[in-house]
This record gives sequence, C-alpha cells and structure tokens, in this order.
Amino acid sequence: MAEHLGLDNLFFVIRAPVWAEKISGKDGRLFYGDGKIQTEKDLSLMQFPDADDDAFYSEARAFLRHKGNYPVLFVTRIGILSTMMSMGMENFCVALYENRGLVEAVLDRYCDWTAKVAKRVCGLGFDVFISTDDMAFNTTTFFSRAVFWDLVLPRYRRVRENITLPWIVHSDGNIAPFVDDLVDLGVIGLHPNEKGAIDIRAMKQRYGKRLSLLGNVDLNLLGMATPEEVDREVRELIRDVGPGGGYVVTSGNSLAGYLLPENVRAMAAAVRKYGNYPLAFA
Amino acid sequence: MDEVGRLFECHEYFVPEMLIAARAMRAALEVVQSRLTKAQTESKGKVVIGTVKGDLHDIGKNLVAAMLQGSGYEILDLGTDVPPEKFVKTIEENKANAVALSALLTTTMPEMKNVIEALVKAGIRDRVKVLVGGAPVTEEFAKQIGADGYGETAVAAVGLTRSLVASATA
Ligand code: B12
Repeated sequence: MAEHLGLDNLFFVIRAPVWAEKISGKDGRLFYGDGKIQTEKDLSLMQFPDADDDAFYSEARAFLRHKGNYPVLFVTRIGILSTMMSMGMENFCVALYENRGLVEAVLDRYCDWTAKVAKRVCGLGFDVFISTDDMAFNTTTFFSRAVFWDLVLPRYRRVRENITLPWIVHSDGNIAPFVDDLVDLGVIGLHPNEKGAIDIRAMKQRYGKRLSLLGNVDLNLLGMATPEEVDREVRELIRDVGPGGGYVVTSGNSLAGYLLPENVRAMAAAVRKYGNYPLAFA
Repeated sequence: MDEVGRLFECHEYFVPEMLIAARAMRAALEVVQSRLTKAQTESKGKVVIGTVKGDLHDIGKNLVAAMLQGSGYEILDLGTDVPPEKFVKTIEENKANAVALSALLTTTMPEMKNVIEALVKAGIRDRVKVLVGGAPVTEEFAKQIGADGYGETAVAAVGLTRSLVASATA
C-alpha cells in the first residue's frame, strides 16, 4: 500500500480511550457524541489499559519487526483533545470557568498515562514521536493562550521528559498563537499547516530555522482537482518552503478516504520530480 | 451578544467564552420571555438551522445559533446530520424566513446544494433565504450553488441574516 501510494514512511498508532458516545457516521467513520465525563463521579469510568504491561506493546513490536526499510512514526495523543471529547465540548468550556478542577483531573489522567506510554515506546525502535491533539479551527485556537499556559503547558512539560525521540505536533486549524510555546517545549516539527488556516510561507520565514514544517497540500485539491493541479501546487510549495530544508510534503490533514488516489500519487510523483536537493529553483 | 461576538472576532474571546455567554443568554431569555406577552416577544424572524446530512460537526453551528438567538431571531435547531426533507418540512411548517446550513467536510458540502434543490422542488425557494457556512465553505461555492449568502464567522452570520431577512420582509 505504502509503495502503491508512493509513501516513504509508515506510522503506528496507540491512543488512550475516549469516554464519549460513539456514533458511526457515513462511510463507517467514527464520530464522538456527548462526553461521558460530566462530573467528578464519572472519573471512575476512566480505566486505561495497563501501560506498564509489556504485552500492551506486542503489536507495536511486531509492526516494527516488519517495517522493512521504512522509517516508522509513532502516533498518539497527549490528552487535551481527548479531554475535550470525553467531557463534551460545551461541558468542557463551562467547566474551564466553573469547575477547573475537573478539567485538570481528566487531563492529568490522560497525561500521566501518555507519559508512561511515551517512555516505553521511545525505546522500541520508532523514529519519530507524533502527538495529535487538535486545538484550533480555521480562524484561531479553540481556547486562549492563557488557558494553554495554565492548563496545558505544565502537563505537556511532564510528558515531554519522557519523549526522547524527535517530537512532531499535529493540530488542525490555525495553531499559530501556540507555536512559540511549542517550540520552547522542544517540539521540532509542526503538522499539518492546514491550508486556509495557516500561511506556511509565513511560518517558514518565522520558524524556518527552528521548526520542520509538514503538510499544507490542500485536501480540497487532493479530493477534487486534477493530478496536474496537484503537481503545480506541490512544485510551488517545494519552491517556496523547501529552500534550506525542513519541509516535508504531505497532505494538509490526513489521507482521508475520499481523496482521489491518482491525486495522492501525483503528490508523491511531484515530490520525486521537484524535491531533490539542490533544488532546481534558482 | 453583539459585544461577545466582537470580542470573538478580535480573538479576545474563544469558543469557551462564546458558549458560556450563549448559555447565560438562553437562561436570561427564558426568564424574560416568561414575563412578557406574546406580542412583546415578537421575534425578528424565524431561522431554521442545522448541520447537513452526513456531517456531525456542531460546534460552529451552535455558535451561529446562539449569536442569532442573541440578536432576536427565533431559532429552530435541527441538530446534525439533517436530511434535506427535514429542512424543507420544518421551514414549511414554521413559515421560516431563513435557513442556515453548516458543513465542515468537503464531502458534505454538496448536501447544501441538495437542500436548495429540495426547496425549489417544494416550491418554497423564493420564500426563504439560504445562508451557508462552515470551515471549507467559500463565498464562491455559495454563489455556485445559488445560496443567498455566505458567512465566514458566527458574527458574519448575524449581519447576513439582518440584511437578508430585512430585505425579504421589507
Ligand atoms: C473539532 C473537530 C472535530 C470534532 C467534532 C466535534 C463536534 N461535536 O463538532 C471531531 C473530532 C469529532 C471531528 C470528527 C471528524 N472530522 Co473534524 N474537525 C474538527 C476541527 C478541528 C474544528 C471544527 C470546529 O468545531 N471548529 C470550531 C467552530 C467554532 O468553527 P467552525 O465550525 O468553522 O464554525 C465557524 C465558522 O465556520 C462559521 N460557521 C459555521 N457554520 C456556519 C453556518 C452558517 C450559515 C454561517 C453563516 C457560518 C457558519 O461560524 C463559526 C464560528 O465563527 C476541524 C478543523 C478546522 N480547520 O475547522 C476539523 C475538520 C472539520 N474535520 C475534518 C474531518 C476530515 C473529520 C472526520 C471525517 C475525521 C475522520 N477521519 O473521522 C470526522 C467527521 C465525522 C463526520 N461524519 O462528521 C476535516 C474536514 C476536511 C474537509 N475539508 O473535508 C477538518 C477541516 C480537519 C482537516 N484539516 O482536515 N472533527
């Protein structure tokens, strides 16, 4: 499959459970409804798989044994997105103001678990650690930088101590207001630099020396345009963001099921065509 | 709610502050409305709102509903994953002035067009204004499918509704 799509890496996911109603949407996609952690009483629902148990990592080890020559990215969530989903967005928002202790208790449980998992998986043979907590939408972040500082950063720092691989953060939307803090935290890469939400060229100027940038190839383009248009877009991205290195071409979110396979292949082909250093653009 | 909307636009308020303000407003409205006569609570118009079929994102839709309600419109919120027939039925039964459609996925954007076609088929397209929005939706797309207006934010949704519904009832 990876070969067919022209990918040059594989990924393996371990995520903590989300305690929310599960609704299966169109095309078998999973969607979370109301969060189940509404009050302190519900905290007892949060029973995590045992992260200290060797057997918990057996699938990961098997995956790594069969990876061939591909580098493998480890993908997880640190916990703020899981917290929002397990509490339900509205309840989370209200609790931020009226019961901050509950939010902290939920997030603590997630971060403690992720810290244990991080410690174990960083020694298994993965190449990169990726955390995927969406914290933004098109125009800005879900919550303020003050909330990010008070609630999220101190806990992420705790997990950080156990992340010994290069750490890439994924967040949809316009995450720009948090990027300085993420860089200070030791994050070395940012994904997916969603087109329409983030100006990847401005990011390159501002953070080019300190941060690898990944993504930005528009999902609408991959889902609806022609392979020629994809080729042009990738060429322009490599031309503008590639100089000096530190740019990884990939979709501006994920390879969602509704993308056109010929466009995904066109993206990979364009990388081979334009992405060899020294770059051909002068 | 206008002030809350302004603060949201200039990134001083975020989703939590908006949702909390909306909750406070709903509580206040309930108290006020229970003390007023029907004539005194006359709304500026009725707006049917929902996330289109196949799409379950509702945070943005809820903010739009709250902002419109805060501006004096009566809101009929159909929730998420709403099929075209349900929009049509609710609009007909309530003689709504406008319908606000939200879509967050490229794959569900075409459902907006289906709603408009269903309105045409039911013979009520000219009686109701169609507003569209959501992260992947653009002004261009709105024009292309024959919607009456596009708004980038919940605040824009209010201005849009004001001008469209006023011009319809004038
Ligand atoms: C939170 C979120 C989720 C949550 C939803 C929780 C919930 N209860 O709604 C969860 C995690 C469950 C989720 C699931 C999925 N998601 Co999602 N999600 C997001 C995210 C990060 C933020 C959306 C959000 O709530 N924003 C906050 C609100 C306030 O903003 P908003 O919705 O844009 O609304 C504002 C304006 O657009 C406007 N507005 C909105 N509606 C309307 C209507 C009118 C009439 C007007 C005038 C204005 C207006 O007003 C609002 C306030 O200003 C976006 C990223 C992004 N860039 O938006 C992805 C995103 C929307 N999701 C995406 C995807 C692919 C999915 C999934 C398919 C993932 C999967 N593989 O399963 C599923 C979909 C399941 C389904 N059938 O719907 C993609 C869609 C890509 C595309 N173009 O198709 C996005 C863009 C992420 C990305 N970069 O790829 N998601």
